[in-house]
Amino acid sequence: MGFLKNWLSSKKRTKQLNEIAAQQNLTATLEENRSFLATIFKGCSDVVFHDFTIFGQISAVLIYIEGLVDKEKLDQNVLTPLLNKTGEPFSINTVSGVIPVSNIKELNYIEEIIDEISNGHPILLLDHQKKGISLGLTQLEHRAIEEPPAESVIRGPREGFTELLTINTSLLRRRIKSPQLKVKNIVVGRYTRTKIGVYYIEGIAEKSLIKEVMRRLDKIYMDGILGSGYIEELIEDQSNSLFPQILSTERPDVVVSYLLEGHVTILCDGNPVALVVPITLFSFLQSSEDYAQKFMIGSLIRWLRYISVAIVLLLPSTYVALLTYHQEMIPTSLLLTIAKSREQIPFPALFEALLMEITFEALREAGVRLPQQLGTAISIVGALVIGQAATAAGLVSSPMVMVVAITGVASFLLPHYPIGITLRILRFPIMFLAGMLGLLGIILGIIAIVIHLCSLRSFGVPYLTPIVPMVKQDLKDVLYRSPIWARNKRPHSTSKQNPIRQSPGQKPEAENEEELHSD
Amino acid sequence: MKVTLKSWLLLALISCICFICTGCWSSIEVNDRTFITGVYVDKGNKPGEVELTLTAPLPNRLVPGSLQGGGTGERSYAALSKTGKTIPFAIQRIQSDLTRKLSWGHTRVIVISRDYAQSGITPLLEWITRQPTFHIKTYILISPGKAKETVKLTPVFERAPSEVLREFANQKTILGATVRDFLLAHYADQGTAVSFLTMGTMPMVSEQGKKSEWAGTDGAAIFRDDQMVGKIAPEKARMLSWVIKQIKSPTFVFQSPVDHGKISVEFERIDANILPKLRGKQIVYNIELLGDASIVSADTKESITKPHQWHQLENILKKKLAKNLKKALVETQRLRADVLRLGNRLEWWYPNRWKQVKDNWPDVYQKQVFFEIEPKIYIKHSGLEGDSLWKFK
Repeated sequence: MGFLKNWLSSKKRTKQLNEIAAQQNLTATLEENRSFLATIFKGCSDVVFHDFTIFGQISAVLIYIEGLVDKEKLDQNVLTPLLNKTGEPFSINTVSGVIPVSNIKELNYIEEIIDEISNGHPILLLDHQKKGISLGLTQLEHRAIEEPPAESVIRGPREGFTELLTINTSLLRRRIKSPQLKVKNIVVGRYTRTKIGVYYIEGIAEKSLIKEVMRRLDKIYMDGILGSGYIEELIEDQSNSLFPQILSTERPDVVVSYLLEGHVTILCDGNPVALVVPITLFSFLQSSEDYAQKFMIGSLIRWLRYISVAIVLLLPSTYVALLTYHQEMIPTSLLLTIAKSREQIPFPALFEALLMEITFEALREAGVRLPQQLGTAISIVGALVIGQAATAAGLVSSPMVMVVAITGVASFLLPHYPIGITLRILRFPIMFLAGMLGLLGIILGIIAIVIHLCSLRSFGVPYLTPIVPMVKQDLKDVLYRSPIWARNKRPHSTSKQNPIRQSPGQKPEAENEEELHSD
Repeated sequence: MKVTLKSWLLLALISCICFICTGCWSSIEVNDRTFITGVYVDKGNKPGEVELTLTAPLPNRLVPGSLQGGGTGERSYAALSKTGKTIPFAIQRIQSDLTRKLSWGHTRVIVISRDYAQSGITPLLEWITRQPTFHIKTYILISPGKAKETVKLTPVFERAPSEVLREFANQKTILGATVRDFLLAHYADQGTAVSFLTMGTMPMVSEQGKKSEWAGTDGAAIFRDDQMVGKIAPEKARMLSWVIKQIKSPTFVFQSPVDHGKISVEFERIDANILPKLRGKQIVYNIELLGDASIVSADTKESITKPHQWHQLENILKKKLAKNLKKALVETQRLRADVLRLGNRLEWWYPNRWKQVKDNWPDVYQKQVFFEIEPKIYIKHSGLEGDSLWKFK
């Protein structure tokens, strides 16, 4: 039976050319190798086969993909010395000796050659040689390093990741100069052959975590990986949850701070978004900016964010619940003001809230997708819809406009987009519950969310750490932003085996004040 | 944890129960309710009947940003009145004429006519305690004539008459007795002192000089349990509110020792301590009156700034306060109404003794209770000057 199953499943896959060529060796005849590669790259007009004779003695072929290769350097550093020097004794070593290219590899298998060509490395094949030479003369067009627009800061580095994995790796390496920063590369995607880099610091990150990350990445087998979003969804613990369990960021400095705390980062070629695992809920409510300011300011802003989470999630539903069920809880004068403005409104409070919130979400989504020139048009329409005009039309009451506006402002305070969108979505079911059961419904909704959060894990770390389970020493980064000199230990959940971050007693003190003044 | 079909079914069942059994289907929009802010209770014309008047603000006539009603001079509140055999019956008759549902969550003041109060307010309290949304913090006031007349009160500074009365209580210018006080008094057969309103008319500038209704307070009505048994004068009522700390910065006037000039003092901080002591059959309450006063006016030619003169003034003031309080307490003893709820203090300090006397507490209060009043009053400031500037003329 098992055999039959295997056979059936293998039938289902259409065999790939590079799978056929997988273990095939190069042969000693150039003509044979050339024609074999030509059949493989048949119909790829951008693959160039350039035939020439080395030292006037031996025929050779240079294979490369146009556009991925630095042609100028190829001409100067490869073709010029090989064509011009004549009469020298021939061997594969002399050939590589006269080529002034640093990144040279000798290859034995057809599969390797195909991979190198696809990655933009020119291949030099020689007659009578069972080996090919790969020349690292790639030139990939890429975007300059820019500040990521979604994660801008006031005080902090302006660099963001780009689409090229090599540049991204160099951005990390520039910040962590220790050889302990390790990079593991794997290639996924049958057609896309996307290179994925896994970064960690040896000695801080736990070995079991690295193993688990590699295990989950190795499991991926599909046609193509088009971005880190694919990977995120394929390696998440609970794909059914609304809550993000992997942090995505475009900022190398954020990634470095997580690497130093023992997290693992996954970068994917062709995508500027890095994934950080494992992660807790509270990491989504922290911004790199918190550490650029004084710790008191950082702590206060962090609390402002916590309040805004409560507002995003609960304000519209609380308003609906109070207005439909618990009028006696509103102060009389406030209630009269609300009652006055609701006097002309034809809809129940729940419908009114849904109308406004959905409009707001639609406007927001429209603003994100539209080109910038149209963005101003959207903001004008938005100001009309969520503003005086809506009230004047008699469709919504002005307190409701205020509620929606405050909720909107609060949702902009969340530093990470994924958690923001989660909370924005969750407020709708809570609004329904509030409309049906009043405050009781809101409490039920909160209980359901808390139960769900308690059941979540990100790569083995409970999602609500350090609150549930309680880790006292890690509370310093949740309840407030601890001063840099007080952060003597790394977070417990990610670096148990190597907890000491810095030596204690680094709080600046004016010990040598007298010396300073005596000068 | 695996989410099984069973747990989904359980969740569905629990949500069903929540939807059906919680009684929260009674959602009513704000614009389908009318919020009663004041309840006015009178005796009906026929014996045994009660006349109920309710006031409610009219949100559609409220102009945001301005306190008074619309520009046309319309009032921004309505008053509805009906009689019935019982209070719920009267309410039902009011409700049946209304397009909106009555809501009691914002009732802040109940005005009871003297007649009704004298016949006992038990039916009213019984009805209130059964309403889930009715705040027992609601203030109770007694009107001299018909409670309904209070509605005519001209709200100059506030939006509605009930708000005027509520603000009276909030500002502690009157004895703010609440429903809660009545319930507490009921459980131990004690008493309550309630502010007694007085109504009058006077020309008001704000109403283009028209004669308008004006309300003030005139002493306090004394309740034993839930029946009004008497009334005491304002000066005494003020001392009672001092002891229950229901008064804010009271002003007192007394005469200077030599030339009998009038000296007014205002208290910045008042407090009172009550401690019961047993002396044989007698129950003696030691009442300490604490207060810091400052002189706001001293219309006297005497010097008042020397320490011994200063203390002399304090002593005069102490005597006056003690005398007034004593008079008030004796009055309550005569009416057998323990309005300060002193019985509770006895229960706290001497629970055994309380057990013996609690069954006929009104009698015990009248006969066996004695008072020791110790005023501890300090005059701390003399305002911006010492002796009167006019002293040397």
